[in-house]
Formats: sequence, structure tokens, C-alpha cells
Amino acid sequence: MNAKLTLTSNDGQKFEVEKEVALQSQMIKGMLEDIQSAASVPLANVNGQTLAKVVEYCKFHYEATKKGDTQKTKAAIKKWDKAFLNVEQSVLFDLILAANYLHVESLLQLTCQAAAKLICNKTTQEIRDMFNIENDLTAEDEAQLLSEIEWKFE
Amino acid sequence: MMRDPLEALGPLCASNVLAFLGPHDLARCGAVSRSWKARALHDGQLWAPHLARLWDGKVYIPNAIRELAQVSPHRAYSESLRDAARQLPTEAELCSFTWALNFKALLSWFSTALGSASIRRYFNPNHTVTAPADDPMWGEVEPQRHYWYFRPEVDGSTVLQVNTYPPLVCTRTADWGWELSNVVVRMIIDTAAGPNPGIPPGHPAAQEALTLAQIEARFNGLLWQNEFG
Repeated sequence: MNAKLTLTSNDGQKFEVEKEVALQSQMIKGMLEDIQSAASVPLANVNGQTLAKVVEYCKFHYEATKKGDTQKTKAAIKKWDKAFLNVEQSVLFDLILAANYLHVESLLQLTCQAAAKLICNKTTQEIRDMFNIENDLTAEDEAQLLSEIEWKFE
Repeated sequence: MMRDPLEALGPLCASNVLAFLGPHDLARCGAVSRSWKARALHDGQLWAPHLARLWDGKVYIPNAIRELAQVSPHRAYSESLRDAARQLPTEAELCSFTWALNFKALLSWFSTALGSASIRRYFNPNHTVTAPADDPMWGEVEPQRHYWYFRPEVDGSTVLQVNTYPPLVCTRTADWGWELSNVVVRMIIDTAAGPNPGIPPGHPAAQEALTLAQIEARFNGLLWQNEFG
């Protein structure tokens, strides 16, 4: 039999999940070790939209690992993860923060890698433009940087 | 509107993201703004794995750069790349290694005669060149004193001159060692043999009295005769 657990987001949305699914979060796992009878977990740092995605991720990965570790499932998981990450940048950042807060290590690695891909192979100016960052480096700073990291401009 | 990930994610998660970037991407991030510079360049943990990979399998990294790595790994990374392009070793560097000498094809009969015996040479701070006691060419005591000095060429380059032998051109190898080469021989750093142990006490070269100026005067004069005499 599988015990259920209710996760509540900071905007009041409730998600009922199997305990085993929720245990992928080290933070929830630790919480349940302290209070074993808990049936409801309030998550003050995660909104409903993000928690829905995290639950979706944990459910899929729980089911996928139950099926066994064949090459076929590995490829299927990879494909699913890729589709899962096809989200707006703001959602991706919220997922990183939620994965960090809930301590879901595999989701944290997955989302951080996806965020790194946004920056990968971009010039400094392209990064500024993408994230709307103002260049507040002084001419002195820039000259020093140029001498320190000239090799990467070559 | 895309949000600045450093602000949106906070320092810990932002570093988590940057940890997925290679050194080139990380360096470009370091030039975005002040806060990006602090996050991407001044975090030793981000650079330590890149530096370890860069140094892996390399023959020689100057001590100054190893020390710099303790303080600023990203600068040590840059300095390493810059230093690896330096063709001429310093006198101290030349004297610090054991050098393995091999004959080129031109004198391959020499190699054949010597069999598999390895020939090693030491460049010493008093500008003498010596060999281990069991040297297959020189034996216990070398037949004549060998001297080394750096000599500027007319084209502005510097070569390593040993007696009146054809000058040795110094170049870097792919593993950040050096190759000293002329038409006859090729010398590379023999890492397995360890550093130059120094001239043993009592060895004639230990009492060498010639100054560098005297050595230069003697051999430059002979080189002149070779070319024009």
C-alpha cells in the first residue's frame, strides 16, 4: 500500500502525491523523519505553477526508475526530460530555486545545465543583451580583464 | 523580459549553473558586469576543475603559476596558457631538468652503435654541461669540457650554444616541456630521471673557473672562424 501526502504551495494549491514520489525531495524526506505522522507538507517557498512541474517531474522519474534501468528507459527518460525543460526562462529559474529548496538533486542538475546552455557559446555582449544587464565595469576593470583573460578572445 | 540569472537565482544556484560552463564561456561571463565578474572569475571552486584538466599530463608548470593557483585559479589558467607559448626557457629552468638526448636520422648510425642506452645531459648554473657518471658516450670523465650559453642570433631570436656545435633551437612541446634541437640532436626533458641533481663534489666541472664572458668570448670567436675562416 502506498501512503499519500499532500503538498501545499505558498499560494494555497494542494497536490496529493504518493509518499514515495515526494521522498525524492531530500528536504521532505528529512521533514518526514522528524514528523512521521505528517500527512500534509506546507512549502512556503514554492508557488503552485512551479510545484505542479516539480510533482510532474518526481512522478515520472519515480515510475521510470521502478521500471528498471534498461537502455530503452534511459533514452526515454532523456527524451522526457528534454520536453520537460521546454519552458519559459522564468519557469526554468523558478524550477532551479524549487529544486534547490526541496533538495531534488537530479532536477537541480538538470535545470542548472539547461540554464548554462542559455549562456553557452554567447559573447559577453550577447549575454548582456539576453538578460538585460547593464555593463557597470570601469575602463580600468575591462583593461585588467583583457590582460587576465585575453586567451578567450583569440 | 529575461531576468539576470545572478539576481533571480542567488549566489549558490548561480554558481551551480556556472559550474556547467567551460573555461571560455566562464571567462566571457566574467566580463559581463561587476557582479558577473565576481561570480564567474573569483570563485576558485569553479576554476579548480578546469585548471586541473589543463595541467593534466603537462611536463612543466612554473612554481610562480602553481602559487598563483592557490590565490586565483582563473588567473593561473590564463598565465598557464600564456607561459606555454614561451619558447625560450630561463637559465634557471634549463638548469633544473635532466635532459634526454637523441640523435636525429642524420646520425642514426650513432644511435644504433649506442643501442638502447639513454644519453642524459645536465646544464649547470656555472655554464658547464655534464652527464651522469655512466654516460655511454663520455664515460667517467667527458673527453673535453662542454659549456652552454644563450646566444642572440642576427634575426633577433636566441639560441642555446654548446661549444661550437650547431646551435640548439628551443621550442615548446605539446606537453609544455621544451625541445632543444639542431640538425644532429634533439633533447627533451626527461621527467622520469627527476631534476638535475647538481654537479657531484670532486667532479672537475665543479671547479670550473671560466666566467660566462670568457666562455662567450672563446666560442663566439670560434663560431666566427667556422663561418668565415
